[in-house]
Amino acid sequence: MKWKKICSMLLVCATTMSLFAGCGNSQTQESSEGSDSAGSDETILSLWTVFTGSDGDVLREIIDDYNETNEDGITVQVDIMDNDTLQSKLPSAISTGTAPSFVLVGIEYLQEYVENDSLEDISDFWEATGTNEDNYYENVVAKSYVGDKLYGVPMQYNLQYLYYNKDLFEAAGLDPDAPPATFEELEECAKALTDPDKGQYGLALPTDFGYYVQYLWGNGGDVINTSTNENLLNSDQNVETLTWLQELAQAGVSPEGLTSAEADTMFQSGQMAMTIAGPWNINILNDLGMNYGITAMPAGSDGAYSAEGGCSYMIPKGTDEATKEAVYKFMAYWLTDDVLKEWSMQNGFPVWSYSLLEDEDIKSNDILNSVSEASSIGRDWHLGYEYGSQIDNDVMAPMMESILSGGDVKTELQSASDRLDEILAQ
Amino acid sequence: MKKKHRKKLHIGGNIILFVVALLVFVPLVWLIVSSFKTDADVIKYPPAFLPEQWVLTQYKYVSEAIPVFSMLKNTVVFAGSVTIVSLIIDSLAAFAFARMEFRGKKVLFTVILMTMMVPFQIIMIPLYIEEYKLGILDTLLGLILPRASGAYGIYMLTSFFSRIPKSIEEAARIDGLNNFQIYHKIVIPLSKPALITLGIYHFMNNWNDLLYPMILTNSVENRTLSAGLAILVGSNSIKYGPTLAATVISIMPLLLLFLFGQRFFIEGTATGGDKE
Amino acid sequence: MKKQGKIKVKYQNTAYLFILPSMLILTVFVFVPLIAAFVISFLNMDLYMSDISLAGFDNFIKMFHDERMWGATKNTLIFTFAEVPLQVGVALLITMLMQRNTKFHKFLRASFYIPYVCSMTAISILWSMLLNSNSGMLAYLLKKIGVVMPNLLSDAHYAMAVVILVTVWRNFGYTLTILTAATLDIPNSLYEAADLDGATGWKKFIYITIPSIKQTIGFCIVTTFILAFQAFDQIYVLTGGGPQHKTETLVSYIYDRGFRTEHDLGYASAISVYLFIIIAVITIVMRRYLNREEQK
Repeated sequence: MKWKKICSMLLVCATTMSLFAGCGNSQTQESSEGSDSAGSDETILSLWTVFTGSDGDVLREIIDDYNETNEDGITVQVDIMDNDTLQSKLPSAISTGTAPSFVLVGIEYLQEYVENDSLEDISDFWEATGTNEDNYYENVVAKSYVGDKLYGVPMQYNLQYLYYNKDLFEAAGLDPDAPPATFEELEECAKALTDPDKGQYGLALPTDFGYYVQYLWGNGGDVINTSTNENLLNSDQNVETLTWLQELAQAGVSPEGLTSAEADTMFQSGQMAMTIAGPWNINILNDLGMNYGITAMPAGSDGAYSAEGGCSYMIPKGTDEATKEAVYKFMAYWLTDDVLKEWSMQNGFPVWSYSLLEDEDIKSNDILNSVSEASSIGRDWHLGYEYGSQIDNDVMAPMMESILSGGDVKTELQSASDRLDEILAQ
Repeated sequence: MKKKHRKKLHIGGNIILFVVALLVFVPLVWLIVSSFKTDADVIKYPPAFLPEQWVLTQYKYVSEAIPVFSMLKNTVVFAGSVTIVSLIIDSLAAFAFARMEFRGKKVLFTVILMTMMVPFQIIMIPLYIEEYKLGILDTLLGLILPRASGAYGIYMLTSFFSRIPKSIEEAARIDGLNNFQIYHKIVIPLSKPALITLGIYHFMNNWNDLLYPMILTNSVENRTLSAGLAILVGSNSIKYGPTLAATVISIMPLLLLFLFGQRFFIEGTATGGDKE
Repeated sequence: MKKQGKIKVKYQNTAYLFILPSMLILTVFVFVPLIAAFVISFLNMDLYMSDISLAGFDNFIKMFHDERMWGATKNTLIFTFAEVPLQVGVALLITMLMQRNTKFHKFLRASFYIPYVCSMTAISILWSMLLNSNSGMLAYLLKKIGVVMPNLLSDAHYAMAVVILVTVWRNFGYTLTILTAATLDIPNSLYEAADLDGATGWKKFIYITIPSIKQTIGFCIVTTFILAFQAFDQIYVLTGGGPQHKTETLVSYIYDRGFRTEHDLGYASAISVYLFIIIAVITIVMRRYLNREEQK
């Protein structure tokens, strides 16, 4: 009997709550709409982004700060989600008019969005906000252009770097100030740093790492020529590189079936001596007080290369003028030296603003210096190439997964090359 | 002889039960306890079961990163409304199927039963487009309406209603009650256990649902807890600590409800079974 | 519902009023989308919903040449036909051990129900952390006793098994509750008769309990089956369909093609139609079988 009473009470509560919530919701929606169109007191901007890591915390801090201090009555609401979710929600949100005011995603998606006509042309951004385009690295800004139209405002620029744990280097009798600079040294160090009894590994080789192309480049190989659509995957150099990687994996320098996220975590906990990743780990490593170093991707027989990446702010198609104007203001705010400086200082992202390079704090920051040094070997990995994500998902990822788990290199390379041919034939 | 044998069996059985209980409890306790660890503690190697120091950092982080309370409210509204509305609508339909005769009854009932086997993924794409055309995409109403009636509810209540003795109904008819009065004054009061069972079933399932609210809502204001947490931590979460805390937050409300009303959950589930 | 009253049956038109609200909802939100899924499967259409064109049977032809689709079909069947018997079997075993309705057993039953109260999402997150072979608790403990645990969730040999076991871990308490309730309804006189024959607990369970709750077991199998065919959350969180698509089921493949990558709604709908046909066939076969059982 008692339970029945409680049950009915609960149900009553739920109903009343739903009624209240219903009212509350419609009101808030109306009010925000009202202010949007009037553009007077308050403008609420929604921002979708993929910064689930510790850099997302810094991003939130900067935005909170902006919300409090800006004089235009703009409030930016950040919605952080993982990249898969965002990529699955955004296209449908744009086509149904429920898209956010702007998004912050990897520049590799820019091309696809533009092709599907889902982004606003923001070529007037520089003029409208009085921002000097020439103050920023040209190669960074260029990545937000399609043809001569601007579709994004760069937010950060990065390559992949080799992180190494100095304490573990010392413990293994290696020089903590001489990180590996070549593939041979990388192999030596990786083996020397592996100690299965302690659950310690030398070098992370995650199956879902998206930039194995860096190793291929190092020995003079490649995957595709994006301007001629030529399939370059099945080459002797690649066989050599991949065999080498497979032998490394079989030597046990990396746990089997590792994911990139796990690799990051293991590096943070001191179980992984070296890992290759973007700069987004720096903030949390500093927080944890790790004794680590950052250096450039080691060189193979052909040289050292690292895949370029970055994120840009983009405005979904169909955003109204008033909102767009407000987003411009925020984007221009991001490009000020103060904000870029905070972003680089806290997260260790390389600086790409000429005026900021002159800043004393920036000049004297060790981590930033090593990052900047390691940032001169950038190479374009199918950014803005229409089959880019398909190559990642259907060619590279399955190939690396099979090779790292012991599949025959030549066979796997052949079948990956066939898949690439299929994609190119479309 | 026999007694001894039976005793052995009894002890053996209890050992198995004990092991299963451990298998159930230890992971859950680990989850709750670990959510009070510091960042360094969470990823520490070798791992430790208990936190070195108990902190609320992870909870603070989660509540700053996502609007937990508004999501909680959405979830209550969504799961609560679906439960109530669908109980009303389904019981009305079930009454017709169980106690009345009408043309096309058999066909309709079979068709409804068939929809029970249709996974949401099959209709997900058109439903999304349809909600957009109706202008209820990304609203709580758009979450509630499609769930306001369902095959399982109709099926379960129909089989329950049809077991109410005909004599009770006939007596009511002699008293001059019409169909709606019979439904309202006789069938419903007699079916409370079935309604409670179904109510719990709906409430729990909608509370825990992931894909459905994730697809049909876009803005953070309309997001439910399950979807919000899944979106925050994603399929490959980078931050273990907040993930743990977020997971605990998402299961806590139902868990508490269960602890205080467990008899009621279990009896509800139990009545579900003998309906076939 | 007796047949003999055929002449007497009076159709009551008010019945339509009773079913109207639910028919309205089901039509708008189930039947129309279902038909629409069929239509979309014949279109070239992506998530951006611009440039829609007629595809004819292209999507279906592509589907039959798609290895991933066949893999997903296989995985769906593996998952269903392993998970359902396991879940019902484990629940039956424990029911057998808990036939006394003592306080202790009641407490255990409530405890076993707890995972079911938690969402599959939460349970999957929990297990993916525990099973992590590098920093996870379990791997560490196993290592201490000299067993090296592979990374179960990214190992093609084990991933599916783990997904199945996690599902069973969460759901068995639910089945258990239903089964136990049914066993408690069995009249004591049946057991007493068996006692006189000198039957042991185990034999009694096989020869008395199971036959008496046959219908309830059937109910559990059917409901578990329906849910197993739609399993998504645990796969989404635990493996995302990997490694090498070894845990990708049809529903997760539909999601992947339609929403996550490629955004190809036409193709995803074609797979939906295919899945619907499989389900319809299985349902019809199952209903036939159950009806025959009932008539026995």
